[in-house]
Amino acid sequence: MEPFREVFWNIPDHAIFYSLAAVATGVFLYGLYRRYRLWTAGWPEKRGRSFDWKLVAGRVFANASIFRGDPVGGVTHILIMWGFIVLFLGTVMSTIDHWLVSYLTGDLYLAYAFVLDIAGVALMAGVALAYLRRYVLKSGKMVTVIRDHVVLILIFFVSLTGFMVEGLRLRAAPPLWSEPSPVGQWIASVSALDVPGALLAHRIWWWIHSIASLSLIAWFPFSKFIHVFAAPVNLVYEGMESSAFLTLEEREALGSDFSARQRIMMDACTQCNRCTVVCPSAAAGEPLSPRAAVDEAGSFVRRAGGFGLFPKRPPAEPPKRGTAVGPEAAWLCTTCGHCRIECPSAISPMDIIREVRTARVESGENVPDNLQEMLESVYKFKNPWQGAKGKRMDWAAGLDIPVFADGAKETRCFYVGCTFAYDERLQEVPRSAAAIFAAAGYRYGVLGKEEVCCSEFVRGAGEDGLFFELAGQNIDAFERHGVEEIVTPCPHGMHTFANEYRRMAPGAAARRVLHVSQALEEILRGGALGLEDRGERAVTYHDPCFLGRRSGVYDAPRNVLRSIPGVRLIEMKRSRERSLCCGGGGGRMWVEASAGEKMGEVRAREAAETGADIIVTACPFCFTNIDDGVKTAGHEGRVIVKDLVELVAECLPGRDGA
Amino acid sequence: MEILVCVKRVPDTADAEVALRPDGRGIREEDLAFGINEWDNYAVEEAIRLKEKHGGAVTVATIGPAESEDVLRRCLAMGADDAVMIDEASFRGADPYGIARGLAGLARRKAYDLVLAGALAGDDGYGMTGPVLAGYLGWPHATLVTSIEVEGKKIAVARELEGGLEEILAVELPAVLTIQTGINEPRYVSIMGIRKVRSKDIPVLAPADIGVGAGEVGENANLLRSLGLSTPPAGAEAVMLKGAPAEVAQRILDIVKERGGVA
Repeated sequence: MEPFREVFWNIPDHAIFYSLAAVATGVFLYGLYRRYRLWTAGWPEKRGRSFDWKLVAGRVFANASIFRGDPVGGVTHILIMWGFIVLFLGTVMSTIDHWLVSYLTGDLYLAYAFVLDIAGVALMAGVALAYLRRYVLKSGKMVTVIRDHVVLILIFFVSLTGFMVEGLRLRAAPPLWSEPSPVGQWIASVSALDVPGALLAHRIWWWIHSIASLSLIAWFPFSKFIHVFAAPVNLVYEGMESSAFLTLEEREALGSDFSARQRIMMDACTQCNRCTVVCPSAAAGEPLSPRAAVDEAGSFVRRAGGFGLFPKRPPAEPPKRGTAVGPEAAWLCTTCGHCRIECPSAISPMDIIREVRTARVESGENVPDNLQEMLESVYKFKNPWQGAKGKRMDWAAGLDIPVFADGAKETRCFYVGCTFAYDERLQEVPRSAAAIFAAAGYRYGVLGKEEVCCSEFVRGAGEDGLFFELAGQNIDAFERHGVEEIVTPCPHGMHTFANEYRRMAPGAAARRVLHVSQALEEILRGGALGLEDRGERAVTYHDPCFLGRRSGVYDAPRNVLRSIPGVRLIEMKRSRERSLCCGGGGGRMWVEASAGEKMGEVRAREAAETGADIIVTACPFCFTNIDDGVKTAGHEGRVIVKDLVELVAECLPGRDGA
Repeated sequence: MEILVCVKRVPDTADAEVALRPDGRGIREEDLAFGINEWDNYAVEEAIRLKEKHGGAVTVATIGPAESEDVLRRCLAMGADDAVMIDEASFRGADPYGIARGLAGLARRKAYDLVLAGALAGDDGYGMTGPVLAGYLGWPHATLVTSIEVEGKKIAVARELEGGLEEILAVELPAVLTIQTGINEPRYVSIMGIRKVRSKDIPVLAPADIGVGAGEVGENANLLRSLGLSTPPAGAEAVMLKGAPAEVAQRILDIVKERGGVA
């Protein structure tokens, strides 16, 4: 006899099963519909047509990003995910076989039975690993609550009861062929039941298995299982570039608290805690957990939308978005972007947190004093430091700097940035850059008094209106003077010009934006300038978040360092895309946390531990925070902080090494 | 409670290098940042808080150039109900007596319970407008106010005195109060908030609307006449240190050592 698939063997009550299955499926579809409504109640973001299939395939099917830095987590996820998918496909195949065309016979059936057995084992092994990882290896640093146990145990229970059913069937009525189901065969072989006993037990376990499976299906869209749908959808979004900002008026007209994408992110989250593990604020002991922030925002959206199996009426007065994340936590994020690149599901807690900030800034409620002062300064003085317009070119005193408004005919703009222009210590950086440019015959003009704040941290703080206003002024100035290329020593400016302005002005996308380290890399290529040896120095390089993670520039500054004679580069434990934030981004420069160490101190300590003589960075905020950290953490005298540009300028022929 | 708040657009000169105009009667304004007078900002916030607590409406008013509209819009975004401007032309060059005269005319147009003004303006620093306005109106006034408690038709106000003292006054309404900084924490006004009040009408009143006749205010009617501005010469003991921060710090240390400040 040819092997075939047994369906409803020993189960007479098909009608009861089908009624239950219909209910479960109905609840499942209804739940999916409710989720869909919840997502589409969010405002739409503007997206371009380009699409990154590779990213989606690599992340969704191979779980590539889960393995990074956490192989056990990767294996766990792959086992559960593929176990689930294979068993689901197996059920679909069996349904087709039973109702439409009978094809699960012969060798195909034998292979099918074997693969499904393996998938069941994979699923159970995955759950076992998940517990091993949580409680024995403790590799994931996870936060586990009841709902996580329910999900894991339910998956395990469904697989286990499936095997029981299989084993008892094989015990009660061994088929005429040898069934390639190792687990079922093993259960059959160890079972002590006689045939009638096995028949009865089979029937009982069959119903337990069925009810457990149907419960899982019905509960699926209402639980964190929604991750299974939301995460791939979110990864598809991730593969589509954001093409334009909504204007304030468009955003206002759309109402709603969070965007559709942000809502999907909240549902895609499984609370794996990777974001919090890498969060610099959390690492410094501050009361911020990006994971918890996403969870809180998700609960907020579900509450506001009346989401549930039995829909609740949404509250009469829509809850305020500004309260979606804890009052202090929402101001602690530095928007360093580490959570975003760490998240396998491409969730961006920092975007959700920023959205909360926009609501607070708009209502004027719960805006920290210093941050408010900064925003008012940017509004009034066009820079965060209350610097007078007349002093914006003070850094250039005694130098011959070409200014566009004074008639400089150049296509390249050297954008100095507020902190480099007004901070007396940091004015040395644009001065150094000017010296290098002069030595290299590198042509440029500056905007001078026309230059206004890039406003990265204004947007980070959620004051989009002010950001648009200032960005508009810079974009106008670039256009007025025919600027085709921008070089800046400030990564915050660079990120804003390269990644944000293109979403505001069509012409901005065509403008080449370089960080000064990239310009120096070009200038120094092939040993040009003949930099002189100023002695052996061990340096470590701190990747500024807005240059590295946010703009993808890691090698240029390192290549520049390598081309300086006598400089030996030592990498810190956390570098490149895993670099630890100094605490200066997204407006955090102006917010104090109620608890925890200064992030700059944490980084200064890590840098000092390398034994380097100099901590080199390439960002005014990183400089300030790490320099402060060196002093307050007691490393003064052992290590100093310098900007990359200064280090190069010191080695220019004819200059004194400082 | 009907409240009128008098505000002024002033340049921020705290950190700017202020240069005199060639005629010596004013300062060069090109590179200066302008905004609401700091004291007035507290006054507007206080008025809005009183309204939020006791009901009524807040009107903000200014006598100033057309650019002052930005300041008024900002006040509307903060939560003021109405804003009104007085045509500046006839007030050009007016001293605080003239300005107060105009504001008094405005205050009589509606039954206000309270008129608030900043204790001082950041540019000329006279600190007179409020008290003179009270004089024109014949209302009681209190200066340097750091808190306001409403008790029926009376208010209790705290005044900041030197030496860390505080005076509590009972004042009959209607009254004029000049507000000291620190009375509250003014809220943040977002650009979105300002945009939302963009289309709100801000009437511009002519002198006749506020009962001011031609020639009654303005430079020629002034009781105070500014003879000129100048930068005081550095005293004999003053030394201006210039140079890099490290050099300046070293020089300070040297000077302190020289004079026996540290061993």
